[in-house]
Amino acid sequence: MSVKNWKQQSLLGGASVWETSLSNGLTLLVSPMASSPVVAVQVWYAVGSGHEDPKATGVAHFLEHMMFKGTALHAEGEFDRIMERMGAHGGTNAFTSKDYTAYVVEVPASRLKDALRLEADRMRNLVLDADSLERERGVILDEKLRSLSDPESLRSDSLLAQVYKDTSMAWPILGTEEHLKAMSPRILSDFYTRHYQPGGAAVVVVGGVDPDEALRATDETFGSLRGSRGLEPLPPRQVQEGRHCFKADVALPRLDICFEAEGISAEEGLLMSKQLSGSEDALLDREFVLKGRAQDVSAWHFEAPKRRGAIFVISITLPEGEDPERMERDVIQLLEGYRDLPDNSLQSLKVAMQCQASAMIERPEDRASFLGQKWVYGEPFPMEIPFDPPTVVRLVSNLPSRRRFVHLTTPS
Amino acid sequence: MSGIIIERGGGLPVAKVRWIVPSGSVQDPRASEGLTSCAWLSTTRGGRTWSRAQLASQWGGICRGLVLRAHDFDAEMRADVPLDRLTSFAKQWRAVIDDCDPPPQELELLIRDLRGDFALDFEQPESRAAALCRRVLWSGDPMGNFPDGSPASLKGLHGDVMARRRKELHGCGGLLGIAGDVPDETLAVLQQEMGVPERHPDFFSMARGIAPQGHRLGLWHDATQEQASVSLQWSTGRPEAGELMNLRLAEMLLCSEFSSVLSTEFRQRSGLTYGIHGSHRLHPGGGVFQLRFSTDGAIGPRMLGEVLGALDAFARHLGSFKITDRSGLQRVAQIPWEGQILEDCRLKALNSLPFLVATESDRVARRMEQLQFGTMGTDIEKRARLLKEATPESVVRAAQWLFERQNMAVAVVDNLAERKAGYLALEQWSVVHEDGASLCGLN
Repeated sequence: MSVKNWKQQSLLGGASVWETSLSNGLTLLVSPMASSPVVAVQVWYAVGSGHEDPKATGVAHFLEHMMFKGTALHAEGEFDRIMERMGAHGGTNAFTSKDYTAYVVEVPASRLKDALRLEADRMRNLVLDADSLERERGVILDEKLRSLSDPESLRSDSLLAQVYKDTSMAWPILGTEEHLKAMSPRILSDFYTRHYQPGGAAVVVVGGVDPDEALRATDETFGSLRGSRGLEPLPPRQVQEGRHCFKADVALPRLDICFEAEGISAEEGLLMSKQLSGSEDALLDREFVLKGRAQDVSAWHFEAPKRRGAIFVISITLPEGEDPERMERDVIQLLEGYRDLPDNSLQSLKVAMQCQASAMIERPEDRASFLGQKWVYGEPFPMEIPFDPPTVVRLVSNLPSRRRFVHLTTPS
Repeated sequence: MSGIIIERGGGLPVAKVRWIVPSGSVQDPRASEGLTSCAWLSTTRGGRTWSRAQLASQWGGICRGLVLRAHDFDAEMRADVPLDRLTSFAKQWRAVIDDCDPPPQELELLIRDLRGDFALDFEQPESRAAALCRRVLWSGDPMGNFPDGSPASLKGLHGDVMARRRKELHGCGGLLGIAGDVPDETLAVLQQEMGVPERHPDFFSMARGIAPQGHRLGLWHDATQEQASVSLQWSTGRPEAGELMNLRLAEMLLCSEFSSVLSTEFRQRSGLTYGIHGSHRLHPGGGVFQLRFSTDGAIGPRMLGEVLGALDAFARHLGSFKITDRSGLQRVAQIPWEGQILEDCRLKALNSLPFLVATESDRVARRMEQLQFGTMGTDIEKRARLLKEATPESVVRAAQWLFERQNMAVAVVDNLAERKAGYLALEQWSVVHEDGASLCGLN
């Protein structure tokens, strides 16, 4: 078997993860769930829209669609048909982000090798012909139209375009209509050949499977694939400072305050978001939602934890009559004045993190996605979510001193 | 413990708790739609002893993800609770119900929140199309109520009406489902404090004669839309339990999977839509079939015409291999569904059975569905046997029953300035509602 040694680590909630790589550079992550009759199989490629050429935006997402077309071994439509016949739960799926593209499926545990065989086939043998591209162009243009009709999607695209102006993070994952109309087999093929390599990918297997069995199946299906390239570096990020007002067909105004989040780990970001929002006793909910000054509040940590250009975002939907500028001032003031965690908040945060840890690992697909993201960002797998109240207080109260961008979406 | 459904064995330190009360928004008068939801949600908005903020703080130390929601036929509460907090959780629920008496300003805020949520939900054209279709299909019937009310109905709700409804809801028992390694002594506390009856409630007592309005078209003009969002719904009545697997196969064949006939035709082969998806949902009184898609507005009428033709092909010509009179549907009618495709669906359905019971939460959900909707619960062997016994003839019968669209309603959200005529010309609609916004209580 062309593999290196296993590295076994403990994971949240007493679970474990086994990691190794094949000689071609492909990473394998396995997390067994002894009692589960099913298995989540995910292939993560460390390439997303942030790796695109500014003259051909949307190629990562377009390629994600084309990966469900034919290969040299399987005619168009066969991939879905075979996966569904195997019992793929909820069918097959994939998603593209700024930094990565992931292909996800769940099958009965006995079908693991069959699923891996299909994934390995499309990693190497994809056929990108003009006819199928043309049909898929219609589907993707329709998806683009949907996003243009969706105020939430427009808001999110505008937010990232402004925060990451002049970088590859600025353009929408779907690409521009102009570039979608100009997409060709050649552009897709170049991207595929360059980025869809074993060394730039991880296979994640979670569920009712023994690690050695998963390793044998992965080696037999992916082991013979050759490829020279390793991981691409993450796209560079640079957070702008400033503010922008965006008009859209929204029902209520939405205020997004984005703070540069360099140095904040994923787990710290999670603690901060739980302390700030997500339940009625969280800091921002208590101060603004319960007092009728906000329709809803959320706080979230956007991708690339710890790295320069990562952001921590506070989003507030404002009811009629609430002044956005006053809200912004009051949020900043609240964060600046945040000095300690009272006993009841401490208990609440403990409960929140306990429940969050369970939710991350309870279902095979959630655990697999968690592991896949950790792999993309080169982060250690946590045994537990570190619970350190003074750190949470410090990080939250220091947010206002960080570089920030304020984005306001108002009804047009 | 017969009133509690529990599944143990996950080994996690957190239990998932779900409490459902057999009373829902179909019991709201149309002028007061949203009443059940307001009454149920007001449970956490404060009482004689505690303010809402104090309550929030207490709940925060006990559980996470506390959600209260009213649906058509039930009111639901769910939460994730660390095992060592379950006893506190039960006692807190009892104390909150006993003390519940939200001040008027909290009820005003609750209504404003629901109006805001309505507005946010209706930003999405697909959501608007689905809501309008429901309204058109169940015109004049409480099944057409929006569980969380509409801006028009929410204006008229008052505290005393909510208090009466809240008392009814808290007095009619319920069904408690728990996924987690909960010891028996804790279950006893839950049963006592939450008032879980010894017997499971009878959800079917709410089933009654429902009256869908067929062959109706609802239109919602939105000048900002470049895309047509289309929703089709019809009432199917109540299926026999033994027919559920035939229905599942017919549904998979037509529209519930990526490789189904409609998805293959309209997405993969024609590139006309990002997605077309349909599903059959059961409720205690029967079932509703829903089909939805969106497409470039310019081709919306044409695609809807083809989808209607496909439904006809399934309901009327399935098995006879006749080519329909719509040229775009020739391939649909020619698909040799009796052979390989039916076998594909059967394999898919058989192989996906383990997912129905993969986790403790899944098993609790199946058992609760069985009591609410008369499904087969966790009996995977019975499902497998029925799937294996299905024949082309039995699936044809199920398809004819499932895709009979005489009680169908269609709703379209689009910039209709130039395209309305295309939709009007498609069928002999019995009624056309041209002001979707008013019909949904937006004005």
